[in-house]
Amino acid sequence: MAPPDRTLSPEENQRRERAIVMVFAEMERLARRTIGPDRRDDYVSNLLCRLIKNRPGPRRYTADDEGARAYLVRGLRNQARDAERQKVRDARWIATPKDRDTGKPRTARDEDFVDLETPDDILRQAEQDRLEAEAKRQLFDEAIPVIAKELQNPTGFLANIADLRAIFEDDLSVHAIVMREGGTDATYKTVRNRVYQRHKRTRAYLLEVPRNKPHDVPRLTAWLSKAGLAPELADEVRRLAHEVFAPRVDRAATTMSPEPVS
Amino acid sequence: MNRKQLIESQLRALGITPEMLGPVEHLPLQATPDYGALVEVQDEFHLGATRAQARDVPSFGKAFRQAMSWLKKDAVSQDDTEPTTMLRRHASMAPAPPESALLPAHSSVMDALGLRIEVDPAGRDLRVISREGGAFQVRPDLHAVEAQVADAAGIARVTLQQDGRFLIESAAGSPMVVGWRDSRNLLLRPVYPWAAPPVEEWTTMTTDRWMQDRLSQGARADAWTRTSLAGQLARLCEPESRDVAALIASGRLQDLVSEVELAPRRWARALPPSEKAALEQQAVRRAEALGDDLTDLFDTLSADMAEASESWAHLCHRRDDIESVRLLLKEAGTGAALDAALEALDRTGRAVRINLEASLTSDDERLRRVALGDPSAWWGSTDFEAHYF
Repeated sequence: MAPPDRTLSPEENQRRERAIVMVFAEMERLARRTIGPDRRDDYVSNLLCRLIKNRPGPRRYTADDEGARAYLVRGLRNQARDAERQKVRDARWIATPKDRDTGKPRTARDEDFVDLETPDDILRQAEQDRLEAEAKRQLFDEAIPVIAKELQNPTGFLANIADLRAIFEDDLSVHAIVMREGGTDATYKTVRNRVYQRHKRTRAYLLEVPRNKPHDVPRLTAWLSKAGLAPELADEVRRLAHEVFAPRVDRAATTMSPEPVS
Repeated sequence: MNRKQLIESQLRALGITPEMLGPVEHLPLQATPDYGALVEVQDEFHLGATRAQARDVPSFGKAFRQAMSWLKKDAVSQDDTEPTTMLRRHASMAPAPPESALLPAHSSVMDALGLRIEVDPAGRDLRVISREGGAFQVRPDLHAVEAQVADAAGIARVTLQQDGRFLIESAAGSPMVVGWRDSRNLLLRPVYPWAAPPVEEWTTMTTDRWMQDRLSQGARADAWTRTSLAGQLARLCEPESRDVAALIASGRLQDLVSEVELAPRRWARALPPSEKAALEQQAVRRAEALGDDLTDLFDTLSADMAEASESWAHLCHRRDDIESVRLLLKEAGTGAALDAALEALDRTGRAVRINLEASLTSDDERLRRVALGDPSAWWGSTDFEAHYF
């Protein structure tokens, strides 16, 4: 996709305009599924204009329709995230409201107890919960066991996946793993780094293009392409994997105690 | 005719005009006892070693850079605890190098192209080394003699003539760096054999304040920086508020992007083929150099993220410079070689990004715009999700 320009040939302009119209229609459809109605049109417009100008290069993970849709969904979510961040920045310039009775700034405790949930909200949340639960099942019970089978000895890979999942779910910390593996004050940094390198290899195996097959796609992407999941579910599996396997580093910790905050 | 005029006339004969030259970089040549330690460093991290061997040596890059910066006198710290000073002290006790020894010289001009240079203290012999064995050639003087093509290991050895004048070219013959010798220095000047874009003209045409600030930095910049800024203008302006649905419905798609954002694309399309080729070759060399640096970072990433914290934003900006040029090349109907070079680089970049914690590049406006404009750009702000699987 690239911007039309009157200085180009009519054929080239038509080609560019057709691409824009096609992507815009798909983005509107995807936005209805993934973005709330409030500023949906703004996000779609912003993303379209930015993509036209950036003309992203041909990349393997947008090579098929499924990958391209996931790419656009990610782009829409990022526009929403940017707007949220802008709202937070703007809020810093607005004075904290004061309580009418005391004249002191209102805090979260002073807020009125108003139940904002409507039946529609409850239904939407239930649907989201169901989608998340199914995505978790697909990722951990279907995709990862299949991907692990390609390894000669999948035990270590699966153990690392279990650790990363437990860290994500706050059932475990990197600090606890270092303790479990016999780290001492003297060896803390070494053991922590060993754990990090192991997690790095695990992420690489699952999410990166295999180094020995540079023209291939990441193993999780390949699994998703074959699995034929509904687009909403495939998106949710991607989002979940993104969150679960994001590195979480106890940067401040260099000794065994006290337990650092992850 | 003085020496400067002589060099200029010889460069003109090769098609290189003064406007194509970047700023001069001075590399001190004089022999001092310090060279002894440089030779030790050179031996320890032998420059002919493979990258795999180099990676096996912890802190290879750091020690190498320290040794390099120490060759430049102005880089030596006054603080005795600084590594550079400690190295110098160590050096003063080291034996003098053999007459034929070649010494590494730190050069940011060469770094940007993924090349290293070694010279003998008298400035007679020269060795140019490509980190990944990339192809290039060296002309040992500025006359049209046959160029010395780098060998399979990416090394070209030349004996300098004509006051040490030489020209480093891409494998296709596009000039990249011109060098010469004076009594105390080896001097290097990057060559950008394409006409730089008129970014000053465009600065006043954009209403994006951040972009105006960026473009104003390009007023005295070299042609590579100015070309990258042109690409940034084409890519990274904030979208104006537009009713896109209405524009599409009425067939006014040409109003989606402003005239000033189209101007760099038109400039690129109007470049002569030889200049497009030179721009692409420069971008390819820079992509290869960045790929090497990313590989180094990936291999040394550790749990405290110290390596990444220091270098990540800078690496991302380098990648974005290349992306800005890539866009212009695409608009100019070329860029396939650059796309191929970027494929390997981006694979490594994604691998690094996947293993970084968020927040390393927060508050970087340029990288925010990158992330919002291309979710698959691994070099976009880590505040946003990247699409890489």
